[in-house]
Amino acid sequence: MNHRPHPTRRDLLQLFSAGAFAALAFAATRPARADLQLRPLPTPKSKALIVLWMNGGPSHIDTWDPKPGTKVGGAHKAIRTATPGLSISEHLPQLARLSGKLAVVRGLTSKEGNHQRANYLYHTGYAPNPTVEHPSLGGWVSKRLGPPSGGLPAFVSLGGPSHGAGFFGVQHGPFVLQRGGALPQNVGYAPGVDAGRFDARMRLLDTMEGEFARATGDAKVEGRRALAKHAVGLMRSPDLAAFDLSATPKAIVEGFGDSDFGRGCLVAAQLVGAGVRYVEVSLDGWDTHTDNFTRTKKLMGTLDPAFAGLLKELERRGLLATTTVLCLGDFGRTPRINANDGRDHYPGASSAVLAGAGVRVGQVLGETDAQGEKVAKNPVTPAGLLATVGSLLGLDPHDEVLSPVGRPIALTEGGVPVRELLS
Amino acid sequence: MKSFALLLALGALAGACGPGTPPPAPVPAVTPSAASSSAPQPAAAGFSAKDVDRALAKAWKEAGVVPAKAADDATWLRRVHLDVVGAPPTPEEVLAFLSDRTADKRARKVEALLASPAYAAHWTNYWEDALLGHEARDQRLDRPAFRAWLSARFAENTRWDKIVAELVAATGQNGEGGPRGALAVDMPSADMPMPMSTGADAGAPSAGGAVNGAVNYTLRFQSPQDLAGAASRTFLGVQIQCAQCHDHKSEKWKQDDFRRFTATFLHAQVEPIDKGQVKGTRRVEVTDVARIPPRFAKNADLLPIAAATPTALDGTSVDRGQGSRRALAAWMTSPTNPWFAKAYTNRMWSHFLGRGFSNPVDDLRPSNPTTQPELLDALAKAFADGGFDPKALIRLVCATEVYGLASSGGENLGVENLLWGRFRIVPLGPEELLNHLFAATRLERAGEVAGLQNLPLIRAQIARSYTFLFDVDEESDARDFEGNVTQALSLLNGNVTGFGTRALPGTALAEVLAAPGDDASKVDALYLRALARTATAAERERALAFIKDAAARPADPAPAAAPPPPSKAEQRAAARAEKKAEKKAEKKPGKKGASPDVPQLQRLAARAGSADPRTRAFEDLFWALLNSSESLFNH
Repeated sequence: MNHRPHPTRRDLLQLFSAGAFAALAFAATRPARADLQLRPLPTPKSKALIVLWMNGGPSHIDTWDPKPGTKVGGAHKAIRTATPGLSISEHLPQLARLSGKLAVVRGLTSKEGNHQRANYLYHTGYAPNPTVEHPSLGGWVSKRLGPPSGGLPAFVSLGGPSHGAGFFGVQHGPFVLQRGGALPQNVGYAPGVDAGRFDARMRLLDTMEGEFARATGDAKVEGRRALAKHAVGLMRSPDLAAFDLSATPKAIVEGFGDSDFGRGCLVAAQLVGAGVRYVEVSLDGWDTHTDNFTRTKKLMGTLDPAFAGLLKELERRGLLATTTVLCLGDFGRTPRINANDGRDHYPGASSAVLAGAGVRVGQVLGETDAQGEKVAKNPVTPAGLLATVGSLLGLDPHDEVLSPVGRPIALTEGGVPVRELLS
Repeated sequence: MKSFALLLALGALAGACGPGTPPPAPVPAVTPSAASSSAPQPAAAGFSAKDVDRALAKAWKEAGVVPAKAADDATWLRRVHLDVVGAPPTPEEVLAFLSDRTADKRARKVEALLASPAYAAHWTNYWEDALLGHEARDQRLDRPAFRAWLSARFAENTRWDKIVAELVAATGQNGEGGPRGALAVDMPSADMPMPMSTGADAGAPSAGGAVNGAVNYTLRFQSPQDLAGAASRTFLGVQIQCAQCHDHKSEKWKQDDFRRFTATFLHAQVEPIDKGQVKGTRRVEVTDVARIPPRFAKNADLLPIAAATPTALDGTSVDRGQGSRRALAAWMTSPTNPWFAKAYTNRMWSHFLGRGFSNPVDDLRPSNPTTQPELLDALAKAFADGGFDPKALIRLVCATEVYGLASSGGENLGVENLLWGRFRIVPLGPEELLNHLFAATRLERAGEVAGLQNLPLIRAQIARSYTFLFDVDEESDARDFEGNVTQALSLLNGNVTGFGTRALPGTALAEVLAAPGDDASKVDALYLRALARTATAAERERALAFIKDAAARPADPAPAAAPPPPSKAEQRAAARAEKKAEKKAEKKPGKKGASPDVPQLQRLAARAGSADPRTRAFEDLFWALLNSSESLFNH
């Protein structure tokens, strides 16, 4: 066994030299460290994942798992779809028509009924535990698959913070934009600075950095230089326009509905087209303790054209065959309607929807009982769901890294890809 | 936030040590002011800085390590300023220190820093981060009250055992209520009481629902399990929460140990004072109760814990009904507790030396390898014997030679540099970074000169966004640089460095350029501001060549440097946008991922005339200096 526990400084310098970010992605060729080893499945079925995060916990009964004619059913009607056994809310008409492109998971179940904890669970595949900050799936994607060659980040979040990369470090965390549709902050030159002046400044800086790096011999200085190069790479990336919608035909933009979320979904498609691996788009407002039906109707009015528009746009760009889409939220909501015409947190049963590359679409998997309370068939755990989409991207669910305190941490907490969801 | 209170405090400090002021009189190892009731008693003559250096010299010899040479005075001064008060020294302080020829100037500098108001501000920031974190947003959490409490503790140098005992067993009201958000958290007036003014009574409940900011530590956690786990980890370095779900495989902790330890915290009751809908912080009162409150007793998850007998980790019973938390606190903070002094000492060593004896700093499990365990034991014993005096430990560490080593040189250190044979460089945290950038550039004064409205709010917004953007893991000992592209873009193109390095009315650069003296003296002034040292001959020559070269070129024909002054309509629009942004900021305190850049600062651009090539070259130089790793690392 020629196992070296730690890389030498030379390894690190090589790793951080120009073009290092590509090198990091393919560090598998010469494993310097156990946790840098890359073990992708032989043929990943998908190149990118788009997560539509329904922040606050969407009511499953009012969206993907209606219970018409029951006491818990609420105000929305259900409409039938072409998929056998699948009716969904009347306020998702476009998605109902696209049901052949969707796999609806109705048996999602967890124990975490607190927003923060559920958010953590559905992003990392682990319940929060004070001993370790688990990397999110986006963090794994960044660490294992690396950023695209065009200079954009591997992991982008639009409209919400998503979840950081835990002990993988902030460099693998999400590149966060408050909303999609315009260029990220600070990718343009400071006032009074143009390209020539910026270059002159960078040359000046580079001399200083070189001297300090040589003097200290510390990998952190080279790391910072590499990061600055990466930032400049982003500033000057020909793909930067993927963040921007000003040049996108108006007809396309309007198809996504007039919302930040809709524009975020369109930007997500453009980013995936530019090689970004993981994009999360957040739609906030699902925490409907009061006035559930008015609010869910409005939210579905936002979700429906955006999600449908995303699928059509991915198809139009020929990306649906290489991109997986996952729509989910914190948890489901109580079947019982409370005194404020609202529904409260309900982790025991909720729904998720998958589409795109590697997914066996045109099906509904699992079911809840007549009251939407208990999962009656094919339960799926958050870890299982993340392992499923992770494996589509070529991540090994059994891949383990050591946490800072030396505990082996896998992609998810024992999650196994759900066979029925794979095409 | 924090940072700006600190800036004010630093102003006071600069006044005390600036040129023209005689250096402060030598201060004895224990200051007379430390004689208040809660302040530590004089340390027993025991373990000294020399003993630390002897122990490490022996370890280096055995490992074949050739340590780095001693850092020069300027490097040491910047380091000790950043570590003790969270901001680099001013140019005046650097020059005064360099020209001071007395033998004990380093010891006197440490004393001056420990005695400055910035000391309490810095350690308030440190412990707010360590104890509350930035994520917790419970409506009951009164951060300003917690900060005021911490600040008073550090200002009067309360013994560490007393601080922890008060945190663990705190009772009282969380705060005065009132608005949350930017102004509540960040205004110096709200969270920077002058030393000693509120200190005396903040911990002791008095009639009429006394506010005790310390209870916010208890309120920060969502469950007693989380509180118990965090208290054990932070104050003892014991990772008892590993046993929350299962018996620990390699350690001795069993699930029952966790339950018995946690059971103590069920005796804290939180009663709302404000009922119904509340704007701002919801006031609550924390009390000790003999019987477990129904909220806990009826919670199915807590049944096994409620059934357990409150017990300390070594089996000592703390089952005292209403007094259980106090009994546990007394056990935790006892001089005979095997973990208490070590956990704090290890954490402080890591803060000053860049890596603890054990890492992460709150993991002292036997299975977690410890570097130089005997040295940690000896230092911890000295800390305990000296009355858990936070300042005494800092004095000791700062007096060692190992703390004063250069961050370059040395041989055979190993990739990990485990024995501190060379000073370990660490990136500045958000507080240090912003203190540094604001002090170096005088951006605030430029804002004043430009007549920006609501400067405190603008400051608060920048501080808050930096706190999130540059949140570094203080406890991480990662060998590689951890940063993200958003941070890098902010420093390269953002408003703070962008406007701060311009020669706008009121900025440091404008002042440097207006001062008498040749270009060489101006280069030196910029090096002092950005790096807290003078330029080397080679650096000065290079900078002068750059400036001369740039000045020789014709002036830029394009008005790129100076957009046309805004019209009246534009100014009104900008003012409206400013108002809107302020409103938003009040509504959404500390939204994660918020942009670091404050649109209001854009109005500074209107003040920028078209700079001549020489001025622009100076701006470029200053920008590069501030963006350099030497500026952005504590080295």
